[in-house]
Amino acid sequence: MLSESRRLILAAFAMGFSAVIVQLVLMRELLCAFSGNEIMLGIALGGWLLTTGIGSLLGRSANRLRKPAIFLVAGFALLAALPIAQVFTLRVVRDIVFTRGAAVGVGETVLATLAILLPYCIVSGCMLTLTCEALARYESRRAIGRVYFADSMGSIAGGIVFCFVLAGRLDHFMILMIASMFILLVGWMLCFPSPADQLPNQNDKRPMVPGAILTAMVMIMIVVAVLTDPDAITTRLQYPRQNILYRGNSPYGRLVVTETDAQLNFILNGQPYVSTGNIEQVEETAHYAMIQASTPCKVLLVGGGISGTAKEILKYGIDEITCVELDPRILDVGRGFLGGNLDDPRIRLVSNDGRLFIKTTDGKYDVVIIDAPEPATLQANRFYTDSFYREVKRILAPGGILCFALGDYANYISREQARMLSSARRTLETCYRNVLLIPGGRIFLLASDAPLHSDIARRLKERKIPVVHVTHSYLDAMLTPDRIAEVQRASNESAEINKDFSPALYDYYLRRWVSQFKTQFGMLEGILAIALFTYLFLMRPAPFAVFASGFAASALEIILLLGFQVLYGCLYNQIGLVVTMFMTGLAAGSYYANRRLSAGNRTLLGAMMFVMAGFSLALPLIFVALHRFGAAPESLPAVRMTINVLTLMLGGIAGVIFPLASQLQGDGAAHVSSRLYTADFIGASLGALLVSTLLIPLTGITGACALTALLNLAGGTFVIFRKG
Amino acid sequence: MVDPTDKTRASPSADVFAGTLTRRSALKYAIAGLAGLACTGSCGWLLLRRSEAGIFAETSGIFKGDAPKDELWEQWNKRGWVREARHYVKIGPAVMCKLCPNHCRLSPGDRSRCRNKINRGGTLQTLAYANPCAFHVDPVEKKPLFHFHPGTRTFSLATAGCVLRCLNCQNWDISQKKPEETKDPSGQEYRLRPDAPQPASLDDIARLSMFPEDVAAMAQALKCPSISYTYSEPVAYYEYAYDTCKLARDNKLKNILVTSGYIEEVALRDIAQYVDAAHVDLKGFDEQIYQQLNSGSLQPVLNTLKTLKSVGVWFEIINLIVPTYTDKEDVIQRMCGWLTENIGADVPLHFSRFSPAHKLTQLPPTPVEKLLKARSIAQAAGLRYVYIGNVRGVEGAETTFCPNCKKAVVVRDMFAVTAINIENSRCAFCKTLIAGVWSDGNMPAAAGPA
Ligand code: SF4
Repeated sequence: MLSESRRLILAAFAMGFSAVIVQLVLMRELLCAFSGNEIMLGIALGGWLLTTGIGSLLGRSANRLRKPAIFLVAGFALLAALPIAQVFTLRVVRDIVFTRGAAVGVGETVLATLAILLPYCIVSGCMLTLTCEALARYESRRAIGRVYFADSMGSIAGGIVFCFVLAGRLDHFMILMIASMFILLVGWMLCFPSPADQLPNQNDKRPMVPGAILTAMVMIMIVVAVLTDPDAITTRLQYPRQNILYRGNSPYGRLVVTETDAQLNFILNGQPYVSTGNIEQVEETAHYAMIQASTPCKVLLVGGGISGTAKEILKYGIDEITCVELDPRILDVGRGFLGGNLDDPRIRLVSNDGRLFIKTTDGKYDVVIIDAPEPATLQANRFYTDSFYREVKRILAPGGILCFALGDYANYISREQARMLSSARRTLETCYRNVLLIPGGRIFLLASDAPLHSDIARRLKERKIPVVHVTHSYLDAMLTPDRIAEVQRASNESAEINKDFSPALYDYYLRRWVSQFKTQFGMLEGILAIALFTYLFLMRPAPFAVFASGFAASALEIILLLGFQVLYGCLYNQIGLVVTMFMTGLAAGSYYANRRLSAGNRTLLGAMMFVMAGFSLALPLIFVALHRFGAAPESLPAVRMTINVLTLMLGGIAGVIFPLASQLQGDGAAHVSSRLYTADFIGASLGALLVSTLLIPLTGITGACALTALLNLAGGTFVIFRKG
Repeated sequence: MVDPTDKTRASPSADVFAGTLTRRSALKYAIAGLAGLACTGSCGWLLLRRSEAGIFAETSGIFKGDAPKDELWEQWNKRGWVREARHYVKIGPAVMCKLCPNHCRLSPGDRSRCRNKINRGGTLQTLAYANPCAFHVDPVEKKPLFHFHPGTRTFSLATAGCVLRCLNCQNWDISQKKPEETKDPSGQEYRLRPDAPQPASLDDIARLSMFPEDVAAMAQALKCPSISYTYSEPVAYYEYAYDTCKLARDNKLKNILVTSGYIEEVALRDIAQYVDAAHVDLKGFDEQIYQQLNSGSLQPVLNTLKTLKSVGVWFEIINLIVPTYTDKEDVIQRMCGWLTENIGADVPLHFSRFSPAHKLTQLPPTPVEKLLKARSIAQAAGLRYVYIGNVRGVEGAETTFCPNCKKAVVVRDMFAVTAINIENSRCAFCKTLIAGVWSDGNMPAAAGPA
């Protein structure tokens, strides 16, 4: 049998394990329910951290509990049951409170996200403090640091298991059930006193019978609930009046295939991805680009391969078309349902990140068509930047053509949309001699060093390409002088060039998206802001240090992930590795600080804060260097290594700071740990929220890093020069 | 069991867990509990109030205290972009607009739901006058109007603002914006007329004015026999549309309203005197869905259809089929039944294909099958001219067939007319009267969906 303190450490591990899995599942569910852009991600992550922070604050009174064990067991039962209930509620209630099928405004999304995350996060935050308190009864000062360490280790394990084992195989309810079972086992173990230990607190009677019954009951409930297949039930509720043909998960997201009147719809993370019978999409994507080149022989299509675009392109008598799709699940399922769109020996399917493929391929292509999502996320914005266009140029045959669509144009181009078009055009013009805008159903942008032709109808006729949608009369109606003049005017607006690390286009996109919704700063936001400032103002040095390092950890991790996606690619096992590196660094740092560093060393803590500041200042410089020297395909492994090492370092620094600060704070485990955890979570939540939605779009990564550095400099100075 | 010397253990929480509760701590808990409840409650309330189109969809939706003031107002006024509204009543210092069923009641300084009207010093003023933000020359088929001077071009324009809030609006960049967000009253005045330089930048478009006489002149110069009030919603710029219609009529130009039909009868009859054709968007046949997707209601639209029929304006109807919302076949059937009965079998009905737009982005496009089914339902209900829009590759989707001999009398491809077999408003093959306005000005007696 494990000793009591070991069990508590195991409990912390289990909590970390479950928390990370629940977090990943809930984030995806929120993404599906609301919208798939970075604002949503920021809100979900920020909301998660904030509510957990509040939970750890509530755990403050834990030192007053006479029987923390009972609460631990009860808490574990809740941690097991809540996530399943929450996902169920989210799926069912989403369309009752909001309109089915419609995106939800930012303000509402924030409130709804908080409401959905609250139960689990509050309990799990509380439980962290509670575990610290329980452990402190055995080993006093080091308790917080050790719980922190175990929790981080649990998150690493949870992240790895989710990414590599669970996500591609099970539905979300099943995944949650597995996390719950683990938590319940540990909870059950805590019910029984360990014979090896002399209990220091005689009052702490183990809740043997009630605890065991409780955990067993919850276990049975969960198994029964999950056996009724809640995923099937809720999916049907989410897509009423559609036949569900397939529902599944991949590491990249949730895929549902539905049928409506003989039309198949692929719905990826809640957003329609491909529908059959969408001729205009297929033909416009294929022909505007293909008709430009006189004898195209090799074509690259990034995204949208299953929609039938590849098949359409075959009409040009090409040698080979390569379709790159990030998610292998989409290719598999696509092959199953839409085999006809893909079965031709000339179609080559590759499952890879489009940008990574373009970086590494040694093929040369006459036409490159990017059918990527709109630049609503930093991830998608990667396909619209100057560096990307240069990378494409490397693989273009002389006079080759690049083509993609951006936004649609019915009757009016707003200033916001004009800036997007203009940014895209200017960015293209940094490396292509000719750029052509075609105001079709969507606005297509073509770029090449060879001349481009706008007389598409005539060329289609000349080459006798059979078309259904982009007919002579369609083109006549769409490509009127009037419309062409309008997109010209629009693309002449002043706008910034879109760069990987200073994503202007992404900024414009988000602004336009947000402008659809009524955003008003009301009472609620005001109260939150005042509360935050008061909280920051009253903070003592140690919590402030943790706050700053929490901010830095999440802000810089997001930046490192962005850097990784830009400089390398966005394959989930690689991304998973980066995240794991961070957690490993965190665990190693806190382990080292727990064991090796002398307690209460004020100067050391201050110094570590300065190191963090230095690290954030160095990051943009390192990125610039990597961008410049790492462009060649041979240096990609080195780039990957560098970013992994950087992430490890970041985790290490953050990992050292937390235990150091906790030792500085002195006695009263629950009190201290709650304060520190709260500061850490709130810092991290602000970091996540601000960096992805405000700082990067507005100031680029340089600004984001500078602010982070400033915060940590202030933290370090505060720690060194102020007592208390 | 509680150690009386241990301060921490004797704290209130310990009391609770030990089952003993002092009066002071009970009070404390009561207050904390109430505060917690109040917090959660207000969060929930805020959430529901703000959820724009959920169960608690806002119904009034005016913008309190949002009227432009000071310099902006002065500039706007100086440009001539302000007019006193028609069809409203004064209630003390407040006003109530009687133009559309929203009946905005505005106190001084408020802005209306359609974003275009404000209460300035006790009078209702419109800010959408002579300041179109979008204008194009379109084929009349694009409106879509299929039975009204086919093959002609129409000078089309719009200002910002709309009386509805459709979640799938294709033109939300104008319809869900204030006039001030699309136009700029600063700098030099720039009136767009045939002899003036054409706009070269978005700034020019934002600055330019087009007064009713300019619109008429532009339409004539561009060889458009008609003017269309379209894209956003003419009801929202009623005063501008009204004056322009009147002037256009004097200049022998036709007027076309492309509208949601969300308007009060008195106001409609008032403007209809000058209107030649209309295109009404009947967004469904279900009150609840009208509320949910469009923040409007069905009954006024049905009333508009009846009114238009009674005043003899030629009109056609479009019905967008939104998957899983307005695609219920029994509802489509009821709608078509109502139309045949109340409007007549001659009214052209265009079914249109939904594709994700604006906020309604999480629904798939309408399956072509569904549109075909809708067409057969409508035909079975007796409607003579049924079309399917926004789809390609469907045989006869946009062709007018003679209701008698079933031959194709007008063949269209996209917005182009490729063949017309109509002579004197009659089928060239069997001489059956085809409803519509086919040749200049002389509407056949039986036309007008009568
Ligand atoms: S026209 Fe505008 S101001 Fe008048 S009632 Fe309708 S929404 Fe309100």
